Amino acid sequence: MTPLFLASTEVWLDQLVNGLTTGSIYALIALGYTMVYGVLQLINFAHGEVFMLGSFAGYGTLVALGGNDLSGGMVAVALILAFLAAGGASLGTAVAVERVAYRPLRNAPRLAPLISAIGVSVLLSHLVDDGFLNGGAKFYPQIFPDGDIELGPLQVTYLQLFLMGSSLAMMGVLYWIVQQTKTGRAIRAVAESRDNAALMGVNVNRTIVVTFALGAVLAGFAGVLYGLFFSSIRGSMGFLPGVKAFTAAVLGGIGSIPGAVVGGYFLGLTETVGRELLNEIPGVNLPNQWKDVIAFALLVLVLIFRPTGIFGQKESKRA
Amino acid sequence: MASSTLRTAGLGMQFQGLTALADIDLAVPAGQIHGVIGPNGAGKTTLFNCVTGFYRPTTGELWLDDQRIDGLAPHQVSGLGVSRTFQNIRLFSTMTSIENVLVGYHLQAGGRTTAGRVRRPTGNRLRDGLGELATAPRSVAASLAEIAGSVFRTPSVRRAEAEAVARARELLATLGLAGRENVVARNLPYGDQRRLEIARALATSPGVLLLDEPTAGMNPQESLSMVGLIRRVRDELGTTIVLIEHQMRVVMGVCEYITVLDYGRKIAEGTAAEVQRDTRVIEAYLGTRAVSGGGHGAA
Repeated sequence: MTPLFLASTEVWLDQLVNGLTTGSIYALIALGYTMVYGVLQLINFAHGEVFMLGSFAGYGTLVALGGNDLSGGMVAVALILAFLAAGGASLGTAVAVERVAYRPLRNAPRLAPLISAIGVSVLLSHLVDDGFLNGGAKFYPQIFPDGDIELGPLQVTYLQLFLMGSSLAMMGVLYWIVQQTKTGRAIRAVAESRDNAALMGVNVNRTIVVTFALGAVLAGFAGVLYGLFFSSIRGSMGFLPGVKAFTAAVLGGIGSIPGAVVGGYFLGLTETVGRELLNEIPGVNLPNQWKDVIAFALLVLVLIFRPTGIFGQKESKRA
Repeated sequence: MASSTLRTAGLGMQFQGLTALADIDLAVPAGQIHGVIGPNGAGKTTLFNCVTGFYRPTTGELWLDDQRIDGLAPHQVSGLGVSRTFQNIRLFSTMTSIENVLVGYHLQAGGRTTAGRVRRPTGNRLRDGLGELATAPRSVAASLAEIAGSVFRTPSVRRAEAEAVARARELLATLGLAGRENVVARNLPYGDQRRLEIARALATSPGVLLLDEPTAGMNPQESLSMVGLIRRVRDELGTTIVLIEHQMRVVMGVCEYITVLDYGRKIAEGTAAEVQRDTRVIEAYLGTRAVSGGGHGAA
């Protein structure tokens, strides 16, 4: 009896875990894109750099606290501080970018802030790469406890478990804030109608800043997770995950919070499991780099066939 | 609840040469139900947009009690106690009834502190820009405080939230929407949407409530119950009400004082009986009808 697939069960499960891991990071970043789009109809292309600066802040914190020499309980303390520093750095960056590069263009044609966003993105990534690192990279201290959990053929490292679990927890907190708190109501009100929210006494500018801040904290968090998982970080590191997360947000339906999460995981899984599936075709053997081709082919297909994404609504409600 | 006077002096609004409003003097005493009528395009809605800070009037002054409000941002005007509804209903359509009302309560928990010391822009772009920049750290701090307050709920935040929910329920019940709290706004029947919009407007505890054609699209029976509702809001809450209306039966039935606009100018004012006899008013309405070939329910 010939097996159904060429690849073994272990390979499939590996790819599944890989997909969920990268999917978590995409989802965290995608939430920032989708929330800002929701309130401003702006694609914040500098969001990838917000993620990058968060990652560097986390790196700096870990190194300052002892780097690879950290051990035992200090690792946990250092990680918590690194996440806080990353969240803070990303938040500060995003809020500053909003005020300097987006707010003055609030009433300009929609193309203007978009170009401004791309400008900020290029500026920040090159500032770090050329201004501080001279094209080199930094490497995250490998302090996360090694080891894995095996469930039959399924093998998950502690780091992957932590990454997936903490991402879900962060997304849960965000969802709770948006759905259940006063701040969240203000964000949803502004997303539906900026004018209307203002007439109800909502401070629209403040709500927009809050939206940037929330998205940025998630991106900073994702930056540290990325560093812990992929180790090497550089100024340009935000570009690819940024564009992928944007793809994920479009995939899920830009403006939709559940859409960004589903889109993130869907994209992560398509890249990994999808590539493996293509490799099942006789004569095809795509190396790992093909995952980017798959991701962006998916973006093109979504834009052509379902531009509103999985959870997206038509824009007609905005009269 | 509050009751405020609304006054305009020489109010004018121009859009690139088009005069939408000119030299409007209006004085609405506290607790009055004041009608604004006039043919289509007379400037009624423009007047509302000026009062709510949505437009910045080109000339004249706007006063709410003893505070000058022209030039303020909409959320600031709202914070001082002016609220409105729209001719074409503009609810937060994907939010539930109670969430719509709770947005209106947004101000209450700490937000209203700006009232009374709102800075009016000077019109000098540089000075206003610098002034705005100087407030940046404070506004960022306020944003952070808002997030922190939402996430780490202190007992006082919880209490304020619970109180807002209780008051929102009460308000919905007053407007006949009990049992509809968790219905998403766009799924409500038309009449309920109108009432919900009023509930949401009342949630900001306005001293002045502006209603833009509250009975638009309603049958006579529904209009009648809306008239009763408007009167009840004024009687029970004391709110000053200014309403734009086309159905003359509604205007004559509920308004204690009426201002008539035509081509952006005030052409008459007085009680219902006085206005009805005014020849300029009759001319404006019949004239419009003759020119445009269609009336708008004016009797």
